[in-house]
Amino acid sequence: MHFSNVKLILNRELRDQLRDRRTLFSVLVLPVMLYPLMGLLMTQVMQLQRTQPTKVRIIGGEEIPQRPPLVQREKSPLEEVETTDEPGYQFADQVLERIGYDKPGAIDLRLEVESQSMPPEEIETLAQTWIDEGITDAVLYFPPGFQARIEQQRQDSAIGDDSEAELPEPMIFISKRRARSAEAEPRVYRIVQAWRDLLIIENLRVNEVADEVTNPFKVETLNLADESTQGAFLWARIFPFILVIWALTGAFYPAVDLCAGEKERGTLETLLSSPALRSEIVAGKLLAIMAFSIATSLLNLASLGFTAKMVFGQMASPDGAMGQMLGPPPLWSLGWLLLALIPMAALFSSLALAIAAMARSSKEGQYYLLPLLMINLPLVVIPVLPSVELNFATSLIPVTGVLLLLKALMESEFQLALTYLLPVAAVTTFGTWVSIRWAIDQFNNESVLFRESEQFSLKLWARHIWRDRKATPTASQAIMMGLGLLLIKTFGGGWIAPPESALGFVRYMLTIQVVTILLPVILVAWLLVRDFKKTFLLTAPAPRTLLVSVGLAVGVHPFVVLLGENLRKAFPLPDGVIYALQEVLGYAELLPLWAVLLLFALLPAVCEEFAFRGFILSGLRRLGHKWAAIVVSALFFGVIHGILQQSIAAAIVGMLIGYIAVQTGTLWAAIVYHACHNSLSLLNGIAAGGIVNEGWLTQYPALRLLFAEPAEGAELATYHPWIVGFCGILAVLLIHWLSNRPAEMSEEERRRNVLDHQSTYTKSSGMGEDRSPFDPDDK
Amino acid sequence: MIHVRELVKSYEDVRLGQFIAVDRVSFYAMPGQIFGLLGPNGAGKTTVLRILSTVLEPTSGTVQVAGHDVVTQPAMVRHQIGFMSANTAVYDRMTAWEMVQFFGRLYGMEESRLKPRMDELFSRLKMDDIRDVLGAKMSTGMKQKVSIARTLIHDPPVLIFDEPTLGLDVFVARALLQIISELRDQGKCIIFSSHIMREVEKLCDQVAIMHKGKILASGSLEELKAQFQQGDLEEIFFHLIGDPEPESQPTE
Repeated sequence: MHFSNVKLILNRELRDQLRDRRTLFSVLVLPVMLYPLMGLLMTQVMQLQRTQPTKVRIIGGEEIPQRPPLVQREKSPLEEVETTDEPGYQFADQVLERIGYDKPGAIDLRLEVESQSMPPEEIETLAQTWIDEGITDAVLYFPPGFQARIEQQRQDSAIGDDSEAELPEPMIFISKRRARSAEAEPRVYRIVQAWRDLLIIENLRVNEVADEVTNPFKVETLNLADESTQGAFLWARIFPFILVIWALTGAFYPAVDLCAGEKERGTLETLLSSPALRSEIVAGKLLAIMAFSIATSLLNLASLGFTAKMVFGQMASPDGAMGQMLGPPPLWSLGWLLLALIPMAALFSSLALAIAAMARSSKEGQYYLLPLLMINLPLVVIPVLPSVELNFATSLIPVTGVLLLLKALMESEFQLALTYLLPVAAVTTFGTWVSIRWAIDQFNNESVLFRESEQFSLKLWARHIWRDRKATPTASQAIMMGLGLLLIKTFGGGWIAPPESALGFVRYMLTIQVVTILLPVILVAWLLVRDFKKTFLLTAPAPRTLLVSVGLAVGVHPFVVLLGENLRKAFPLPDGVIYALQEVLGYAELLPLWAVLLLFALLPAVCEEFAFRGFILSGLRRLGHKWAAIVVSALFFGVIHGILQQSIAAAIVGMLIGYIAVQTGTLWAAIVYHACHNSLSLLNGIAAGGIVNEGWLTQYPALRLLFAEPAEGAELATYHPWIVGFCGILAVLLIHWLSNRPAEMSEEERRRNVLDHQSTYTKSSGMGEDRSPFDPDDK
Repeated sequence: MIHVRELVKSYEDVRLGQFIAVDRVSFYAMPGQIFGLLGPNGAGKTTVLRILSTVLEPTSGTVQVAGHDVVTQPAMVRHQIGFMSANTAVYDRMTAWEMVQFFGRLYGMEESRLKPRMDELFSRLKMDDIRDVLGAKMSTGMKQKVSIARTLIHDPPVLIFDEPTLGLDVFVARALLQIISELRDQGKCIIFSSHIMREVEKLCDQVAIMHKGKILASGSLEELKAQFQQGDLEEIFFHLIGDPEPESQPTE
């Protein structure tokens, strides 16, 4: 790849986009205009909102005890003016003072008081109508006999009578269906509470008890976060969201224009017939798209930040808390934002590029934006949820991991951020790499570049799939198969009844392995594939190959045990999961050892290998990248194990089995490895005394030889150290032997190999140098 | 210069299943000659030329252009050819000058060589007045000129023209054919496809008649006339295509 060509294409694409009015509008003009306009609208609405007072109606005003007062006659702001109207009511000053509602600009309350109370049966329907019709937002109801009760209580407590009779209680009626009414509830409640406190003090005073009894101590909150981190707290949640949405949108429109748009305008073929390599074209376009993605995101952030500062500055709330919370984010936190923007932009740009390359026209390209945004939305929302923290599991989720890391950085939790930097970076890099490879493949795929719109007909398509079956499944069929198996496991799992007897347990294992994994795979293969032997690698293995598989399984197993133990230590299994596992496994104790080995080791080995190293791996190898196929099939293999701790170990082992299948070219080698691995794990479990019955251990004392005594509380026995050392050497030797085998490449892999090693024109190679561009005859 | 042997290109079509667009085509084109591919629309001419320019890959058979194989050395092949077809459009948001300059640089030309070459091409193709016109604002004839300049900028030994006169008025078409014949005189190896008999008759040294993916006959005009005992290319053409079961096999 020549960087000069990449730069040429990058510059051209940038200039091209900057000359396009639509792009300029969505990248530059829209963000600059959007937020100030939205801010303006918001201030208007907020002001409208604030002028609306909360209306409260009190029923049974005469039932309110006089000491201390809850309501008082309204003070006219202009005392001198004589009005004929009877003055209205307001809540008593001392009540409002107690909760700070007396400050100017705090809360505007309109109070109506009806002195006559009514029976509780009537008030509910009445209050409902009032609130529904908007006459009032909340009804504060004092039942008949309330005042008498309070008076009674005051005297009773003086005597010390503790009789507890059914007593009438006041009530607040609101309707959560109406926003204004729901808003009124906490306000009225606080007022009533404040008044209740005053009432208690009054009661104590009457009974000559000191106030301090009610308030033996005060508690105060001291916020240790300094102001700047407080601002960061809120911005750490809002900004990443904006960042992602605009990084994606900002990448998508240029991507569609640079790929689908070029196809539409007919310039793609011009570019493809130039000496630029496909990888150079993709790199140039990718960088251009990234530039727009970053620019859009930055402009949006800047515009939003500026607007927020203006708007919140105007809305300074009485205690200033709001202003402090929403103040401009501290500058250093923006630095982290910029740092996170680059990998995000790279990921989204490569994804957008690959998708846009697939589209036949710009119109089709635009259709893909919404689904892409929808898929991203949960990934962006998860980190905003208050309870979600950065941990190993969340760091493995693409996008979410980056945002959580960003949040941790903005909140100055560097220790936490540093711990999970590696998994987050690995996931993001892997995602970007896969997208870039996908984009390059799209550019190498002539059926994608030259496909024409066809009328879609289900019948024709179904016939086409059957009639034009290939020897092995296509990559997309393999991916669909993987997703399908996951769906079956997720939704089918509930239909399989857990076992209730030993025989039921056998049936249970058979159902899980054969019905939910093997049968679907065989059925789909029968429908889609011509060559079973090639798809499922059914070539007879050399005995030597099988021996190597056994040897590798033995050699690697101690290390898998070590990994499993560490994973379990780092991320303990929830008790519920352990219990469910034990319950199912309990029935295994009733079976003889050979049956358990068949069920746990051989059966899954056959069924899962047919699915993952057979159908899925063979299909994925049509991508032309051996390692991509191995890794993706291993990821599917890992995820189907369901429990995160198991999935990680399974994915790693899956990669090794995938490598064995590719290098040996036979599924039997993979099955043998898998079966041996499972057997060892099972025997190990027995040695630890964790899973199954003690009888086996006395029956087969040889097990003790293999494994050391289990550590206290460990679920797996650790190997004797001398075995671990020996195994390590064995594993290295065997993998070396495998890597030297001439693995059979798929047709696509051969083609990719040729393209990756083609010679290109270089100035130093001398080609064209000796030949003048001017023919002597040129006129 | 161009060596095509047993070239096959088949597509997968949802409706038809395996569709063979090019069926065991072989031919040889030499420097200093114009090789004409004559055939009706859908004969497979464009597919053959797209394979020559490495935009498409052959299903089987071998194609060598200027000594490089199109499958294993596509980048080298692309460097040795100039490809112009109805499908190689001009960028809308680039001026004529920028467009030609961009491709010149992609071909690895140094600025010291590129600038004089561009000046020369622009004056020879009478493009100086559209130097700073954006592609979107150009007429079909102007666009075609830019495409020619783009094709010739790196002075490739092999030139591929796929129906280059499509949609041009008679003046521009005539000027274009003139340029192509001048290029032949400079010793270029030229492949020229068309469905217009008169153009092929006038221009080409060697002619291959293509129909439904197969070459039905090929040779120089005189050879074809003698072989089919017809007076002109048009008669030969209808003689071949009108025949439901053509007996003639592709000749080397």
